[in-house]
Amino acid sequence: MWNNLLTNSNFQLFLRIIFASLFIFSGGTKISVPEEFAVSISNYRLLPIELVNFFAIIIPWIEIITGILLLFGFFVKENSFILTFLLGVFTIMVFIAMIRGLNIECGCFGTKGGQKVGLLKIFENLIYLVIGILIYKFSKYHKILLK
Amino acid sequence: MKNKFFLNIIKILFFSAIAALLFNTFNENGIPVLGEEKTYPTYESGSGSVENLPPRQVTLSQAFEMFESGEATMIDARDNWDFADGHIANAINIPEFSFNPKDGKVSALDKERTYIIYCGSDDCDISKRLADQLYKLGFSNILFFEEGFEGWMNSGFPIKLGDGNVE
Repeated sequence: MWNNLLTNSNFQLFLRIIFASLFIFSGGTKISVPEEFAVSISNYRLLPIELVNFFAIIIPWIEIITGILLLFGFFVKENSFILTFLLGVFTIMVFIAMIRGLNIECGCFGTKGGQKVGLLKIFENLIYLVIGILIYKFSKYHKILLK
Repeated sequence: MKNKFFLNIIKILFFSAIAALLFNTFNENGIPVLGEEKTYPTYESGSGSVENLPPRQVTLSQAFEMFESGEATMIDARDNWDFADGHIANAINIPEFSFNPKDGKVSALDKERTYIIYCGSDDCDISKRLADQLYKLGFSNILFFEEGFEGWMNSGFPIKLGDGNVE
């Protein structure tokens, strides 16, 4: 029964809408202000200063392009893989920041009104990670799944 | 199937990166692709505290002079256990890692006063980060010196050794 639900195309579409809109929104808040996002990334102190800007420039675009492709059902396995991987990396970064006791904004959705890093953020991310894995695992291997 | 899968992923990422870099080139808020270390102006004595100047770098001997004349207060940006091991005499400890503008220690500071921030040695940068944070809060006279506590101690300037107990 679970298998039927999880592979159901409407249920998969529902999961994709939730998962993809998270990234489209998150990328959208950062895309035009790379400088602010670069500051957020450097606050984590995990990347050498030379690489911070490069990632600040490309991550929002990856989020938006993959998010849109996923939403409309193009390359579902590939895109859900990319976004789940990205989210996994973000979660590990938040976790490391938390155990190091950094008092920083997570920078997840731009810098204004941002959330602080902490357990709540990690819990939230874990839920989204589960959704990402469900899409990756149970979506059918079609190029176009929007129907 | 697997090969195609990863090939597609590479294509998507590549396409996104190209779009991002192109956009960044034409975006008026665009930033340089390779980040650079931030540079700070150096302090010139007598430049005063009238204007709201960004953080400036002082030499170790300038820092000592201002410390001795009582012109400046020292701020230790390291963690409280480093501070508890030993610090510059009369320094205030504001750990940069857990910096919070609403913290009592921060709000007790006088925004017009001169503060000299330091950290461990010349290979740490938290003194600069703390300087930037305080500058953003409207502090007008924030200085730092590169040599840190190690350089200060090696020059034989006054320190206070602690018992390692965090207050």
